[in-house]
Amino acid sequence: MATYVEIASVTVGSGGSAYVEFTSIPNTYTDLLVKFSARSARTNDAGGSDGKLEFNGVTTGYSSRMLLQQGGAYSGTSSTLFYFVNSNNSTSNTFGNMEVYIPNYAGSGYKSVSIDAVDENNASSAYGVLTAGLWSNTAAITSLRLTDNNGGYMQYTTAYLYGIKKD
Amino acid sequence: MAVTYEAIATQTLGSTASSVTFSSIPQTYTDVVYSIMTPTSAGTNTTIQFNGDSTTIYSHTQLYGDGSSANSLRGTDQSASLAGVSNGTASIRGNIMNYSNSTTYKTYLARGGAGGGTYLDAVVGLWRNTAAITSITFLASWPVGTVLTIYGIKAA
Amino acid sequence: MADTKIVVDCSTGEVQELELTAEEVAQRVADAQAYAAAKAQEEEEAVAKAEAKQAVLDRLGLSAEEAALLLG
Repeated sequence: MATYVEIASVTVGSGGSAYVEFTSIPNTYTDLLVKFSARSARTNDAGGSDGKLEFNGVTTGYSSRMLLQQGGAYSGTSSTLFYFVNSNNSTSNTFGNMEVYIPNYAGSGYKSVSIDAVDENNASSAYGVLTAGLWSNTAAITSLRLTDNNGGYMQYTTAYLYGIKKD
Repeated sequence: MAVTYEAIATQTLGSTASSVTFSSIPQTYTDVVYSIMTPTSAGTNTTIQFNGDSTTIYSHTQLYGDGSSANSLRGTDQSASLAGVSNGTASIRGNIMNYSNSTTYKTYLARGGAGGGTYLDAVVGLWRNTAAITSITFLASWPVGTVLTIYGIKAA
Repeated sequence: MADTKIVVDCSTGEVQELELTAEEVAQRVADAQAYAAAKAQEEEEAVAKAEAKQAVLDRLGLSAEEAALLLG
């Protein structure tokens, strides 16, 4: 099997979507990688829209430690796997850029998650975050959901799921 | 179609170790990517050495957060440089650019962190040696079950 | 606000656009409120910290630049 393989991809249509979810993820890879280019329908914060990553439809057991740029640099924690994407009152035609890496996603231990997410806005405010996340659950990851916490993802938002195999 | 991203070697630890070395790295790729998963803490920092070199010609700049404050630190003339924090169930990745050239010093970018640990970080590191990288050593208090993998990325 | 979700079946490649359940709609409202509350609290704490810092500087008769010089 090749090392770096696209498993599935999706582009949000004209109606938008509250979240994007990949299901029936095969357990034949070593690690998972998500590339996410997104714009939220949020219009009350031009700096960015927060979102969360969840697995297997489970809403509990998540924690994050983060380095954030949000009007200054600081560090914080969250009870979700946290990220930012562009809001709809940010610079037009601009989408946030995000990568998620999940090593050993099909293993029997807790799942470590690394998220790098930035959005850009040609104005005084643009958010970004480096997240070290943990899902305290020993289940293999079979589905993965990216949810916007505000207005939902807009048309042309794209998500690509890749499998990486170590041998 | 040419193979662009290829697993070179992997190690899954059946016992604890203080270092893991990947040697005889083929010189046929453009960049090397490393990926490390620790099931439990390997100590605060992973460090890296190249070609078995422990002379003080490494340096790094680290941006790190502990959940309440963001900080940065520099290390110069080190015997090994930082390669991603690993104090918990952690994901650590690094990209060593242009590793096989014999003209320039070697640089890499790394990200590390454990959601249930104390820190997360982003690191840029430098090895002031023009030699091609033929081996990479990762140092930490590696616990049983740690998985270390190196991949080759080919530009053409 | 979008009330649909997109689900991609990785075994078949099928992409479905579905309506959110009532529970999902309620969760979305709760998540947005929780984030807004957390952000408001962070901003309050930042303001309080800045005011406390200025109070110390005023008591010492220092400017922020002078304090930075001393702490350099």
